[in-house]
Amino acid sequence: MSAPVIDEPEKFAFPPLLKMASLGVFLLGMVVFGLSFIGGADLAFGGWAIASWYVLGFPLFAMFFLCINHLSNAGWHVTMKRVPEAWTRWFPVGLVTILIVTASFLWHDNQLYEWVHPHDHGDLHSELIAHKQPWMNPQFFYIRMAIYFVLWIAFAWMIVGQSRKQDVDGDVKHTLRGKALSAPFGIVFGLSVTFASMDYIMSVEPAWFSTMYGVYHFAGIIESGFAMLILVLLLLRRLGYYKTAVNENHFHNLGIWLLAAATFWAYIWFCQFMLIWYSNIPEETGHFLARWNTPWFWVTFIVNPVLNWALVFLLLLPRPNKRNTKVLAIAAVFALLGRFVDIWQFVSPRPHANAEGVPVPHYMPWETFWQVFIVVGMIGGFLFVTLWALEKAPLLAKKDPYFDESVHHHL
Amino acid sequence: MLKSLLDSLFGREKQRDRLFLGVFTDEDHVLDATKACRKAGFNFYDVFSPYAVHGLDRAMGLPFSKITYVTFLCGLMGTCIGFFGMGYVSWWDWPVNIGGKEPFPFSAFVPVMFELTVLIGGLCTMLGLFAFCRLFPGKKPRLFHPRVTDDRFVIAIEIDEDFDDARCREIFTTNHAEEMKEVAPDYDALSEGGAA
Repeated sequence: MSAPVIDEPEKFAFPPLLKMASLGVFLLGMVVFGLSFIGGADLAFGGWAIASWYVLGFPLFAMFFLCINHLSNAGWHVTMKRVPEAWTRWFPVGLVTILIVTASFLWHDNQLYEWVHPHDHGDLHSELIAHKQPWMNPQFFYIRMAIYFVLWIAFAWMIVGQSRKQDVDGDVKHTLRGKALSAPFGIVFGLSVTFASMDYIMSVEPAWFSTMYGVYHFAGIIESGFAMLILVLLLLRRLGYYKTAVNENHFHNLGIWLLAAATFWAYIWFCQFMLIWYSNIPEETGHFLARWNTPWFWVTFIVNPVLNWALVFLLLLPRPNKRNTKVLAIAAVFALLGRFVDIWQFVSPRPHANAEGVPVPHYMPWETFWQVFIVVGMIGGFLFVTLWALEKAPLLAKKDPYFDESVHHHL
Repeated sequence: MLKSLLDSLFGREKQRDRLFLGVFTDEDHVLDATKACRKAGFNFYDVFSPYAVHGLDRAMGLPFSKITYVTFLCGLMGTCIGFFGMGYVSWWDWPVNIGGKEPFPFSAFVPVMFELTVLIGGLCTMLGLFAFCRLFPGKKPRLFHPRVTDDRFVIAIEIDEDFDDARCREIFTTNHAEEMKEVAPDYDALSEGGAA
């Protein structure tokens, strides 16, 4: 094998126009967030919770992607690994966005996190919330949040740091250390994503629980992460970077991952529903009843699986489609829209019991669909931060021992 | 009889021409020689290797495998068998009330549909592969070199009107062929008593 000839820019320069555009989209999202307070703090913080958890999924995906490739001795991703490495720089910003969600604790009439200011109505629901107080209280919530973010930021700093040090001396020991750090992070990742998804999203319905919640959000994070990675790499290629280093073979691999992640998501989506439907325990079924007999049915049971799975699956099943960047981009957009629908239908319908004790949703889809614009704004902020972080290191990790393998990657 | 059935389904096995064989010892050499032969316009009978050589199918110019259609259609058939089978036994023929679920409990059918999709899709892929490769019980092995299942690679070129003996020998020699020979269409290294 001959030495790879890579004739392309080694440093990323953030184009000023893109900088302005991403910042502009972020500011528009902020305007939507500000205006949404007209509808009530409940709706505004609901939208913000969706957006912050949606975008926090990207750095979590980036860490998963780097670690799984380290642990499996994979080399194909090395030419593109600077992009997920830059994504991990979102963690400190993500901490701020989650802290803004907790600003909703200040509103005493805010229904987003009912467990913050529990009212005793003398019914079973109140009794259940009181029973869960040792776990669901603001103090412990902040302690858990601190633990997650300290672990995420520390591991991101160490694993990405090894890759940076390798740029200087090209020593193989940095790859081995990155691998040694990836193994404990696998355990940290599994536990922290499970508990964080319960804290930030599942606790909007404090009386409800699902034992599949952690893995459900893991599947969604992986699917949306691959979709975002595909779109960011296509954007970089359009800007003139990665012309030869990231070619159709790498996109083919990413397409396989997206197809697999979408199918895994569908499997978990159906499992969660079917287990609750089959066992028919009132504590668990309230969540789905509020989405089954109401207009939310179309969102939860039709749009959600169609966007997240059916369209992605059918588009990416044939081999030539995975190598066609246009089809891949369309599938990625469907997956990203699907991820919004997925979190939105958890947060916005928040069921409460009506006069007959039947669970009904607080809000209807047409009252809350505009929350997607807060998510779009947050993605603008994410692109601004991570593309700025991408400038800080060379685009190509030429001293990585797997670099040649990655350049010659062939499917 | 099975063989004639397969021949009528998937086309007769090619056995017309005399063949020109090149035996190679290295994966990279056989790949380069295959590319050169394709460029020179020779018709491949086949290229044999002890294991799957990456990129060999493309070097030979083989069309995209049709096995994916077999998998997709048979998988779809599995889904339908699951759906209609469950519908027949638990709704149409004898409605079963389990835990007060609705009369047509579609959610309970989905795992069965999924499993049958995987099972029938997977089995038919295997059977389809055997049919495409004409592998069936009792098929006699036919090897072009005694060690082609171990550590040798063989390129078999058809000797037809496009064949240029000198050019082919030149390509094989420059790519470090260990051995070259012209053989009859029904040549078999094993029956000729080649040392294994």
